[in-house]
Amino acid sequence: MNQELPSYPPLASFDEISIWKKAFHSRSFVIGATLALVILIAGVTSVFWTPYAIDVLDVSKRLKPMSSEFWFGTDQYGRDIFSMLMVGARTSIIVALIAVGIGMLIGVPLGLLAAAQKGFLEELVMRTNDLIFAFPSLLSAVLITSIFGPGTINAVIAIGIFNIPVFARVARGGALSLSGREFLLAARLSGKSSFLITLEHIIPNIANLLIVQATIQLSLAILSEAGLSYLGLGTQPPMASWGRMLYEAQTMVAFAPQLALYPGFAIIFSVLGFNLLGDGLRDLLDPKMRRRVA
Amino acid sequence: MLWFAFLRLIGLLTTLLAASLVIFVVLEVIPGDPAEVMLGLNAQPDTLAALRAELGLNAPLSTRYVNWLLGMLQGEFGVSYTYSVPVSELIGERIQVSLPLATGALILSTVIAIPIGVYSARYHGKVIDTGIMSIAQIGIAIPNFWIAILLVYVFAIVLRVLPSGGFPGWDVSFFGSLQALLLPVIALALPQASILARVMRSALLDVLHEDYIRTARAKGLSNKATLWRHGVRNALIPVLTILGLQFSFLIAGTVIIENLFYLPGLGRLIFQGITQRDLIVVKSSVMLLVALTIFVTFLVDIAYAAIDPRLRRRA
Repeated sequence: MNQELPSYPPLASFDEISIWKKAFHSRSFVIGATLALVILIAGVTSVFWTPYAIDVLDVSKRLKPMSSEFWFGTDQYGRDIFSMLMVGARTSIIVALIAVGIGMLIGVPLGLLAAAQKGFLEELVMRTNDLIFAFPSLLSAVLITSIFGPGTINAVIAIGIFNIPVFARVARGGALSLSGREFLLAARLSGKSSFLITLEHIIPNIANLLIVQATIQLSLAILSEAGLSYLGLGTQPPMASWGRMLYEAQTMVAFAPQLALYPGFAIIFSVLGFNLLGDGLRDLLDPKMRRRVA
Repeated sequence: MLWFAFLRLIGLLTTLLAASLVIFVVLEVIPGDPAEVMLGLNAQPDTLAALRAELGLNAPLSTRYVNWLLGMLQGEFGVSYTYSVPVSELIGERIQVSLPLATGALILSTVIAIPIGVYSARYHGKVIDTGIMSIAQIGIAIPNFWIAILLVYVFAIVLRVLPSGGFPGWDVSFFGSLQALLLPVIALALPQASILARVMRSALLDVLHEDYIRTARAKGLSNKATLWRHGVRNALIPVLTILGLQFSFLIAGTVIIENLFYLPGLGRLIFQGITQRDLIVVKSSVMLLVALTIFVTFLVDIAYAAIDPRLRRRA
């Protein structure tokens, strides 16, 4: 039955070449993508190479200034700051990606379910969302990590839980905005099940919305991870994390204020990068904006 | 309007009840034995038994939950395990720091953001607008605890004009207390102001395209009067939403900022309660903050409906 329907080109392939062209003209997209890429490369590289090992403390090399030997100098324990920033990038990216991934994997199906099944189920999903929103996010993350113990995995779970309602809301909103559209009616007439329609027609059409939201959530997750690690509830030493570095720098701020600068800049660069990337992607992918540009 | 407020009030109460259940489950059911959590793994069996009896842990879960709720309704929050004082007393003390801190930050961010957002929208597309919005974009990315560390360095260590932390108490030194809160308020407010300025700008830009703005100009109202009387007033609705949301961010932000500045506020109370495993303190203070957040959301909803009659019908 499906094969007898005329096949329309998928919406996503809408002038793909010109989108790339526009992308390179969008300042937000170019700056955001560059910053995000730099952080990503630093994080990935740190898996197999850093200038120095970060778990070796050498007090004789403590608080060295910037030099060709130590690019950003060393901290009060003699660790190379550049190496720690690289490992910190890895920590941030891993935590943010998994936390946002948890939010999407659970939140999107819930949101779609709420949109498809009106009534009790929708009410239940949306009220649960409201409930999670009522808990100030960092406060609950502090609560969760303190009950289950500090550490990277618990930080990921804590941040991930607060991404669930965000994606549920976006997915439901996107799905509802599509309801009543002709291509959905056509798909239903062709005898497809709700599940198949959601999979083949709704998800591809709300993918743009989800991608933009995911980029923004990534930057929020990086900030939350830094906050938790700053409080000593996130990543534990000897693994490096930017928040933890800031915490350690704070005790030294009178003698070595530069120690507080580097991790701060690293957080700002990455958050700014993902925010700009999200802005740029929204301009490029939002059909309303696309019409305005064309 | 009254019917709308009534429906919202029921929603508020249900959310409160659900939130209390979540907190109870997270702090009392999931850890298994709260007494064991509070005393650590090496606790003597008789100390454990004594604490269990003191906390009423031998009663069934449902009784404990109901007792906790009923107690809170009567202002009875239990006795702190580490401080040996009633939790209500602790909260009453600590809120004198947290409330001025959060409201101060909220007011400061609004006072900074609204004029900047309006200014930026007015010169939309000009260099000054791009400049302001670039700064705001960076401001959003800055963690408040990093600003705090820099502020401490500049004002407390280099210039030595403000304290780097601590809190003298309102009755000891009113001026000193204000001084102690100044840097924390700024650190909390700046990132929020960046967000708010962007919201103000885009909300105003949306409004300025409306027909009634053209009408106002056509009837001879000056540009400035149109902007403030018809533009800004209508643009304040989305700004109000963000303000409501920001309150919850500010509450969470106090946990970090109060720790950084050694301020004896609610956020620090919760954090210390958690590290000292004083679950009685944590349970009630978290409930209080969550209740506060829910209540602010409720107020925003009501304010909405008061401003925009169309929203009342949707309930």
